[in-house]
Amino acid sequence: MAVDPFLSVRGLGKSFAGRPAFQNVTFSLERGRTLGLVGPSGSGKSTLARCLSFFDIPTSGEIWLEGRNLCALNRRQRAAMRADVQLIFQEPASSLNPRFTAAQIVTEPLLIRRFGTAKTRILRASEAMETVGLPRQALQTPALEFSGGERQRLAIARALAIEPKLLILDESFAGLDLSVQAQVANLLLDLQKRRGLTYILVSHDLALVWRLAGEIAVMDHGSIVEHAAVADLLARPQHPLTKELLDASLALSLDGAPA
Amino acid sequence: MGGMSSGALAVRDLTVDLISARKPAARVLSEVSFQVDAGSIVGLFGESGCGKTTLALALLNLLPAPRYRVRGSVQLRNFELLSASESQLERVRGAEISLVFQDPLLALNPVLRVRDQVAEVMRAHGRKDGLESLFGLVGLPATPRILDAYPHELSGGERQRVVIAQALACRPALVIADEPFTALDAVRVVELSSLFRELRDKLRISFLLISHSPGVLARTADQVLIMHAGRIVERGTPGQVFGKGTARGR
Repeated sequence: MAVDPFLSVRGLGKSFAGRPAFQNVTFSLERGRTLGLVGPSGSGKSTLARCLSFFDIPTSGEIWLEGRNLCALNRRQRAAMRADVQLIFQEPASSLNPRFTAAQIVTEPLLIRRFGTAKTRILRASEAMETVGLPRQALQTPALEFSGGERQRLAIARALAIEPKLLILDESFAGLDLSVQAQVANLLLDLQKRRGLTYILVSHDLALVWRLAGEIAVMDHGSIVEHAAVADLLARPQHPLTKELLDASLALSLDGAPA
Repeated sequence: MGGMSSGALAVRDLTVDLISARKPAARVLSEVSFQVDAGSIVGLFGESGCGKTTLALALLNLLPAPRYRVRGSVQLRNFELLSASESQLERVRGAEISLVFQDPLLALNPVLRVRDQVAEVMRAHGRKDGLESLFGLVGLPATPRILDAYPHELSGGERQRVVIAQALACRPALVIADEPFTALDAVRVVELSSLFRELRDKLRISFLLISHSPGVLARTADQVLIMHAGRIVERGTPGQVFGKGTARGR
């Protein structure tokens, strides 16, 4: 029996009023790996991320997760698999209800899925808080009182509470300080090691992606124009856009700066 | 005191306290002093929450009075801003000092075409120069595709250029740019960084460039101030403050 890849995306496309946001996207990803998805703004990265997590319904193609075609599921079945794929947005501040406490935020997805009792939900939430390095006592703190980095941790804790298999991070590092970026990056690497989580990391920051991802797909005008292992992509970029992004990233690294 | 010769902006002992009825006053900025020479780019680097944006607002005397206590001196071409009247300040803001923010989509009016967007700024300050020369400065073609577009129809890089065109409409002495590159990809960041240096050289416009990216500042700024907990803790050329080869990955 041939082993299916963990995630297999085949000919995926999404159009809005006949205008394609992306088209014919095909790639696969093994469990416990990280795919970086880079490209200029407007290249279709975020719409692809939303389709992979079914925030938007693709107009063509298939998404196979662990041997099941998610596009062929009915609404009810799809709702059941939603827990497997979690999307973390760019701005932690606006993706959290500011009037909720941390406990309300992290238990909300569990509540929606009618998971366990109030007590087991809180237990699960405090485990998730601990996993992301926030103190259990912070459960009663309103979202408003957390710093930017803590809010991003909270968003990750919320996603982790329902034990997903695939985490999609859409520009989740934008606007965070370098030191906080490093903390969140280390947290993601650690979680991957311990739980075998699979990540798709959407970013326009190639420098950040090449530190975390094993492979990188470059998107331009709604298509994947290059997809390679990080080392190959850095050593032998093929597409002009990849070269351009790589040159610019090097120019912005401290070594590349004019003296 | 002396030595304030060709400075576009001179800030001395700027101290800002946040006043609260119930809690003791919190010091947001402590004795911040620095100078921006005419035709130079000064970078301001620090973590979020260290006071960078408060400093930008304090320079424009935009911190509301009962809530903030502001002391020290902010002089623009030898004119003291902290004691200026509101009508004097209105003439300075936008005309002598202008601000460029992080997110160009928020800074632009979504229902105004680019043409009207920029013309409005010029009208407000009684400027009559042509849009063509202004757009030329920021490297945007003054074609119908750009001029008749609404903000959402432009790319991120084009939008930020429109915002910079607005900021330059009155040929200010100083542009304060607060994280202007955050929403852009590396290619666009490198292009706009070059644009800032070009404007510095061609028009002798000074920039205070606020950023949390050492790479951006190393590429763009002549001098860098490092801010921590409301104080300037280090200053020098990018090479002096960042050193070489500290942040490169592989």
